[in-house]
Amino acid sequence: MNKNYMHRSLTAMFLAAVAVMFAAGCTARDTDAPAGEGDGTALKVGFITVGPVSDYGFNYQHEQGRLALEAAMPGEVTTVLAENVPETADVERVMERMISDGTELIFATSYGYLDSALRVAEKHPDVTFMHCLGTEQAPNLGTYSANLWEPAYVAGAVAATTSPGNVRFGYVGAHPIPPIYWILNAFALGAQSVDPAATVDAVFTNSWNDPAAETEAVNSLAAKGVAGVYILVDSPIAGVQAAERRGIFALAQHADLSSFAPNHWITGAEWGWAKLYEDVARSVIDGTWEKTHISGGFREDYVELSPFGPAVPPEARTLADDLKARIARGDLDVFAGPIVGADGVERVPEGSALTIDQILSFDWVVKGVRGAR
Amino acid sequence: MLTMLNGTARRNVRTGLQVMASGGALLVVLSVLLWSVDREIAPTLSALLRNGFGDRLALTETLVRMTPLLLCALAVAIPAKAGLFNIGAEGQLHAGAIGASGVALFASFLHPVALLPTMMLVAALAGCLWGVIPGWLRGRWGVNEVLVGLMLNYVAILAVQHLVHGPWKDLSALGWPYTARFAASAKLPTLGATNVHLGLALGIAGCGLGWVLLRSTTWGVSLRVIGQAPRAARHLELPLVRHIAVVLAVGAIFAALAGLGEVSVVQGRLRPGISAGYGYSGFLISWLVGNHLLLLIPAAFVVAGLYSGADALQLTAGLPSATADVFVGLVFVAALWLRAGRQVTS
Amino acid sequence: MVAGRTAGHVVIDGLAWESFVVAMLGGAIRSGTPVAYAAIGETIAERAGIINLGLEGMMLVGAMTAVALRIGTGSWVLGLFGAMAVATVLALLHAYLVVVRGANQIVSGLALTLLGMGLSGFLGRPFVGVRFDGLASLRGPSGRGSSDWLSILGGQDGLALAAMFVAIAGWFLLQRTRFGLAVRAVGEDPAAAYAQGISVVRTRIVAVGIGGALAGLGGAHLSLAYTHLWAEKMTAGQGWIAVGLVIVARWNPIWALVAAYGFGALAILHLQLQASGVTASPYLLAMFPYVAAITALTVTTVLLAGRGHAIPAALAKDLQLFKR
Repeated sequence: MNKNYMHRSLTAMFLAAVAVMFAAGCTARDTDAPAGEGDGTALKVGFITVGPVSDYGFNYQHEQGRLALEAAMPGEVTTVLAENVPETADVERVMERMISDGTELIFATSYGYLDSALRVAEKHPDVTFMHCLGTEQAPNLGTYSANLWEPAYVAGAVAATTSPGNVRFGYVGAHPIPPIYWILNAFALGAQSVDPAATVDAVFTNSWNDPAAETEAVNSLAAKGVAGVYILVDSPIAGVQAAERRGIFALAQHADLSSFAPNHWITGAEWGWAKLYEDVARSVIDGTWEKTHISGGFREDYVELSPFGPAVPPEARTLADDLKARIARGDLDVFAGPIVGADGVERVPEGSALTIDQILSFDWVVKGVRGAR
Repeated sequence: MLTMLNGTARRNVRTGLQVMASGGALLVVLSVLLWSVDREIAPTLSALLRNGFGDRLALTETLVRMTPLLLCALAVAIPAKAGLFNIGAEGQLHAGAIGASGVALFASFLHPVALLPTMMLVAALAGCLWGVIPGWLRGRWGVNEVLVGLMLNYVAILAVQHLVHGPWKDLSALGWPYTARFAASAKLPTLGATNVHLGLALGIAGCGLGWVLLRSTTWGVSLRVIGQAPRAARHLELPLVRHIAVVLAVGAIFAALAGLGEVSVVQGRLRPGISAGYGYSGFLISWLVGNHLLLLIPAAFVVAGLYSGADALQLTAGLPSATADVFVGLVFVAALWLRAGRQVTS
Repeated sequence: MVAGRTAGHVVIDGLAWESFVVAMLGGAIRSGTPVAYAAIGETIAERAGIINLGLEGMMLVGAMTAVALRIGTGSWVLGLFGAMAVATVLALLHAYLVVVRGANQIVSGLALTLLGMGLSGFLGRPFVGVRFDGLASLRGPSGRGSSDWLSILGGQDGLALAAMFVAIAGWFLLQRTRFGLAVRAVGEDPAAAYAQGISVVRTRIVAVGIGGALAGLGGAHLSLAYTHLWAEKMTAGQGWIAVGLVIVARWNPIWALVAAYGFGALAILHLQLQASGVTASPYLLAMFPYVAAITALTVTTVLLAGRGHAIPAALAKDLQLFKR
């Protein structure tokens, strides 16, 4: 027992000594070596994501935007990324750390960061914050989004054209919140513009990222006989692959997932963050940045329609191009009346359209959508 | 030289050395890890230390992170004196969060002076409930408190999910699973503009008070007898049921306060994901210092600093966020390895 | 979901009720398989008196290794064996620390969960978003509204069906083999078992190893057969749930399988109920098994007080150290 104890204390002391040496050695050296270090004049931009950027989905698309920003403005901006930052005190710490490292523009890409971003923004009025999908602003905090309902509408039309025999579609969403409702309704309306009998069965997994639940959601929709599914969760890979396996069409959101469903992919709606990030960065550099909510659609190049899959017939592609052009010109408004809700009440009369605020606070579904409140 | 000290002091020295050894192991492990992925060791380590402890921002953030860790570690350490494993701290934290949120949401008409104490009281009661169930079942019938505590963790987390997706969902939050934001009067007092809140002071006070009480009161000594010499406890006819139930409830109160702190200060509302496994981290921290109440404070501080510092792994070394988990996991495995022999609760 | 009567048949959402049940059962089996493997394995380990809270980490490394090997070598067999091997290594580390060096079981398990989560996330990065062909189901997917009861089993992949055999094998191992007898003896009264010449150390190490291997297999099913992808932390807490299910199943491997399918059914039911417009809270539903487990545990402990043990007696307590 005595020998053991001696042995252990010696080990302990040895390790403690090593630790002290390391600590001493470390702090003695020049410590400042942040990643993406540039010359003093480059604007330092920080990106914070709630999930991994390898998710081929929501976070991945922000990362693509960041990489595109670096490529578009070399020497004018340097960027730094913090991924997998949970929506707790951690994100405030990461923001503070970025700021102390010299970051002047921060993109907080997850909705749940809003409260933290507002708090940190208040403490650092000289730093610019951009919050994705946010609903509140501050003097130095703006919000941004994109009119993803535009490509979703077109996707719906393409889907209905590709599957004329069966226009019953499925929709797998995470939470019943407005960004999900925009897409759900736009997709349904787009499909109905080709075939008024089109319907959408909606299922919510109540989780932004749960591959097992998403797979099961697609399975249960397939068992009901839907022609295709639209997947809207943070990482659509599981759902898209499940659709391919079940032999139904796949559509998805955020990024281009055509490689995951080689036979059954139709198209999808993608965020075009590259252009938006560039616009914001330039405005900060030029000093023209204003606190506001930035959004845009096809016209501003802030959204994209994903590449088509092999199953999509030529007439659908022509239709898609036509719709895109009309939306970009302003000739076609996705949410123009008459629109009837699922409860039968007419929500948008003929001749008018939903306003941006109404879209951003969407909490009802159009006729033909089942399963969502 | 060490043989000159008496048994308790020697145990304390040993614990202290083991803590330092773990610290040393930590740095060695991280160095090896960094070397294996071709990253510069010295700048990363120094960035890690700087981010954790090096400047005022770092210290503040470390204190913020430390608060729930210390409270949960306390929730584990106190019952550990009686030989109980409180693995249910995670659930007790959520129970406290629910209690505090309920008051903040439905009793916000209360005068600000009354609101916070009410929140604390209800949170403590909720935590007590979550602690007394495994405590009483263990004391009365010998039901394994680890298993009951584990089950109750799931129940508490699901309860939070149920409430924020259902009855307590903020109708104006447009469908996001959050409650409404709490009023400003529902926020615990904080240190200036930081997120360092009253919970930290309560935790430190709890450690100090607990340490004194365990040594000098009948209750405290009884607990230690129950923990270290159960047969003697039975001979002495100590009221086992009461003591076990009470000590788990007392520990649970601290975990509940951690939950209160998270929803009141950090989040400002109730939502899923308020805890990054603080209950389980608290268990690890308490174990690391041999459940020694006073040592919990520096241990929680160091561990919190490491978590804060781990940002450097991403921001400086560009490593994926999973690296932090590997790091902490390896540290504890190394600590477990070094701790040969049975754990003695002191 | 519209429930009603059409020409004398009950109809749910356009499907005859038989099809609904078929879809539910098939889905329950499919989604409950990963956690079933982990629970069966953990049952064996806990019967020997060791609790392994590292299941989540072991499932994750299993899931990642299976995908990595499948992508790297094209062989799913190699993927499965690799998954089992890697998870077993982690489990053996847990066994060594706890059984040989007397470390605290809970702390060791927690540390290994962290390690498993971190290692799988770190090493698995190259494999995220990479497409591969996973394990297919035996028959093709059933068509719309199939009320073919055979399709419940036919729509499963090989691993899911194997789970049923593994559960029976686990029961057989525990109840009918000498090793199983040793496991149970060591879990009930290790000192007595030691005195009778049973090697406590070796039995426990093997039992924990088996638990780890099965957890790895469960993870492999999740990634290779069920979702056909690898993503960080994709088990979403199923390892923790497996620990709970072992208690729900009262340390019986076959009940563990059933409990896992029940868990799978609850998960799907929640999705189905939504479509029907039923506003039952899936979270309240999900609480039920855990509350039931606590109740069952209490009742059994009380009833057996003094005459036996509701749980393997040595479970989770400070272990005595044995020489062999």
